Amino acid sequence: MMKTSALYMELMRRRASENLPPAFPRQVLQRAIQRRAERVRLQIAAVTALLCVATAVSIHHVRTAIAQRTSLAAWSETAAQARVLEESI
Amino acid sequence: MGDAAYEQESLAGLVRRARDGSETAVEALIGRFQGRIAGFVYSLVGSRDAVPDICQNVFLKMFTGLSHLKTDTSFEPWLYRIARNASFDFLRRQRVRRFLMVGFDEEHEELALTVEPGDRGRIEAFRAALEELPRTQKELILLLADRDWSYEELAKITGTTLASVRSRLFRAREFLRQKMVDDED
Repeated sequence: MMKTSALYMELMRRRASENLPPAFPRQVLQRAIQRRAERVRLQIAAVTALLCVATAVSIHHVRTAIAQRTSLAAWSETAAQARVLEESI
Repeated sequence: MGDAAYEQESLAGLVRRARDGSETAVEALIGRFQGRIAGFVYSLVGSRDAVPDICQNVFLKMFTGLSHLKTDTSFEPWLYRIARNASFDFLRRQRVRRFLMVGFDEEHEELALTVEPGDRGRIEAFRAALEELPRTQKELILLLADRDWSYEELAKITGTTLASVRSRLFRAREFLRQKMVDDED
């Protein structure tokens, strides 16, 4: 005779299995693959966003550095011209 | 490889192939365990409607976690641990929902017993006795009703020590023996 606990569990198994869709394993697998693809897409999007920010920051730094160099050169030229003017007076 | 061949394949072989990325092996693993996991989940949460969602989560976690599994032999306790945790998470969420919703009635499903009339009485008695057990003892009884797990495996599944498993099982069996007499010898 089957033990009551085993009989009870068998009943639980039967009743619960009735609630699972017929192609349950395939459905779960497809969902899992879909989720993995979504995760990969999300990772690619995150990396792309990070690269965009890094590019924007680098461009900003380069442009600032160029602008600083240009204005410094302009100021030194102006200062030299002022010195020449002072000496001539 | 056909379905029949998967039925013949050893569990260790299936787990190995699933870990190596074989989708058919994953599908076969789900097919092999869906009934037992569904039964275990149902016996813990007591709601049939919740079973498909919880089971789906269990097997999705299995899919993502398989690559981290160290040995093939630890697969079964590991899967049951996922199922146990998913079931308790569901019960925790349900408790919060009950707390927030005034007048929310607790769900009690009646068992439509499709068993021999002689068995019906003892199954009902067993179920009633189970409901009186603390959760930590109930899960051990249910696990042993599902399969002959070793104490080490039970400790792994429930995340506790061997000594706790022994004492909990002893108390649970004593209680059930008093209530049931003929079970859990």
